[in-house]
Amino acid sequence: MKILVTVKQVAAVDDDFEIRTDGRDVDPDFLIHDLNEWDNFSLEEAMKIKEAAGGEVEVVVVSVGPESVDEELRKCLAKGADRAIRVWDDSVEGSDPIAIARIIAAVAKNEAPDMLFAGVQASDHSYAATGIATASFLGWPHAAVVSLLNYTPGSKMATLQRELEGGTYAEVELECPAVLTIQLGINVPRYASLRGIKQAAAKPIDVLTPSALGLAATDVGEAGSLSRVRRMYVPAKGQAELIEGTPAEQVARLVKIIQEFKGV
Amino acid sequence: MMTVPKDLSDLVRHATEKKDVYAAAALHPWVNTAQRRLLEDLWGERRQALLLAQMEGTPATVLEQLFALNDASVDARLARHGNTAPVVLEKLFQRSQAGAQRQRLRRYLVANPATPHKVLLQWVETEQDLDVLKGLCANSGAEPEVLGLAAQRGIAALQTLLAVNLASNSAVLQHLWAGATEGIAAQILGHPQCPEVLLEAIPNTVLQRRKLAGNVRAPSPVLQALSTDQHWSVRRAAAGNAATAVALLTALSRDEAEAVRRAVAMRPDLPVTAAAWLAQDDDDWVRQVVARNAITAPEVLERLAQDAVMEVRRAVARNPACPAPLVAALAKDENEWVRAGVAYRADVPAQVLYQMEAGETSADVLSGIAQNAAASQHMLQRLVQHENPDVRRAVILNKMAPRALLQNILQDPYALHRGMVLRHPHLHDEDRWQLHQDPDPRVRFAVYGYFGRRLGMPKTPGTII
Repeated sequence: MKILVTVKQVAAVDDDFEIRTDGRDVDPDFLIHDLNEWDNFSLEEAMKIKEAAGGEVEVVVVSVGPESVDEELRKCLAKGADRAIRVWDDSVEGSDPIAIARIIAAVAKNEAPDMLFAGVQASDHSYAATGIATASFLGWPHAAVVSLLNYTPGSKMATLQRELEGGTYAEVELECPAVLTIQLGINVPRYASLRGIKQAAAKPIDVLTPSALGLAATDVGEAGSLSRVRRMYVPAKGQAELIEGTPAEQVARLVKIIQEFKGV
Repeated sequence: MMTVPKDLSDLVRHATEKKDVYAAAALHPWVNTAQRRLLEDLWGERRQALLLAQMEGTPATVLEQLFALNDASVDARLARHGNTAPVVLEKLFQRSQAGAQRQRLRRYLVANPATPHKVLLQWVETEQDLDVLKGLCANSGAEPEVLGLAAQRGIAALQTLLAVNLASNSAVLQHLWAGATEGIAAQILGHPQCPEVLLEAIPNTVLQRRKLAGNVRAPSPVLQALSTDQHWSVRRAAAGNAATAVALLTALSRDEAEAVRRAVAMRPDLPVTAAAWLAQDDDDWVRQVVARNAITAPEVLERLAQDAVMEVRRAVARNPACPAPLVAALAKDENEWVRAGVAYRADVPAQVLYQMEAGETSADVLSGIAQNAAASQHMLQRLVQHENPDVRRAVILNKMAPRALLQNILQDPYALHRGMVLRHPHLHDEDRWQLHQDPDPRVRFAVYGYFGRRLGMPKTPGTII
């Protein structure tokens, strides 16, 4: 029994940053990297299934990215993942979520997991597409925004709860193997123990190239993508009102705005 | 067992061998020039320079070295950093005379409380950018001379900021008073440096009377008049003003407005009879405040300890004057938040704590027990292994926690806990040094900072590191 968990190294910026000279992304000098928040929950869900099954489940984390991504994969290993796979070579540069999903699907075909978990979205680019596109390439059933999961390893069916608009939920039955995109709050992610972190530092990470997975150059990078970022920019300010004055004047203005909005 | 570094050279060697930028930054202030150069090599990349220029706690010597990079984005971060030395801010001012980032740098510099007086003085009379001037007028580190010159420019958008700025003196406020709007005049009346002459008259507007009633420098006759003001918000401000005469409090305790009674119930000089009266108030917030007040008589507290509202009972449990029998009774309260109030008391007997811990599942109560100096080692032994991080964190805050227990925290999954435990006086340096290769950079920064101070600071009797 195996669960494949996709993870991403995401980037965050402070309030002052510069756009790259080509205008298509933030200057990497200003980026701070971390593991995508959603992926902490995906991994925890896989770990819960593994622990409940008494160790018969293998949890494999996979990411697409350069060597710096190893830092995030080691965090996953420190929390108890059994193996880590990273896919990269220069041809992957410029891949959109569809091309990334094609790579992950190729890994999934190699690994033949019983379940594939992905985060609902990544906190940096917010496509919310990779997980579902992977399901499409695999031809597997899928469910997005999963907020509760009942799944017994080896079972052909999983029951889950999907978070919908307006505070409603849908209870769904799904054939396995399946791709689930996991929502924040489905569990309480663990912190890695220091011992786990030290052990993870010595664990190997399997590094694969797209060609080793049977993908052609046209499957990845910009050639294998369906979208392309034309430019990234900070919109001009001026859409908000800065309330000025003494604290009392500010409160009075705020009350007036609230009343206007409420139609009082 | 890891060997604790004996001197700064040893520390520098560890930092450079590991290429640890955070360790290097923490050590930088304590080492000699040659050692500094070795450390500075570790943050040679722009990315690291930007990171250090932004990081809270980066030492002033590191920021000064980053200034030498002459990078506009690094400069902008230095101009905002709380540790940037005044001399560097002055040099940044010189640099801001030219360049594409000129205005951005100026806006940050004028708002930095450490920017030297002479730099602000050069700006205040000639600067045309309103945002720069606004930053200057809001700067709490600016001297009254600078703020006075800003006031004299007569720019309406600056008046409010000057009236709010606690660094404005009475001369600045007096200048603002002429032609002040209602709001600005109210702000001046509430300002600690409000000119004395302005405090003597009772204003016409509710807002101004309210601000005056809250000013501790308001004369007694004025406060007396305001304590019977028609508007409840003015009476509430007077009730909360420490300068309001005790003789007025009894009347205020019977005020028709709940907000006034709540304010008066909080006063440490509340007459005992007024406290007893307020203890029977229909408003549970009033009862809660009086239950927390140390002047409330024991028999009144006893009655409040039976209150149906949980917050009132908790306030009794938190009252420093709560009698011991009442503390013991509240320790068995059905509500966990009330029991937690007891657990946090410094005077709770060990026996009561022992009884409270048995079978307790609330993390709030257990956290209170864990930080309590009266908690036994057996209790702490259990609590330091608790699954809830709040409970384990409370053990770190317990000044009586023994070294053997604190050593458990060195392996805690929460980096925050590992960073906090470093400061515990019962930990030995051998324990602290175990964290010098911690995976979390903030922990390593704290470890190297500790040892840098320990080995680099001149020894003076009584110095606490």
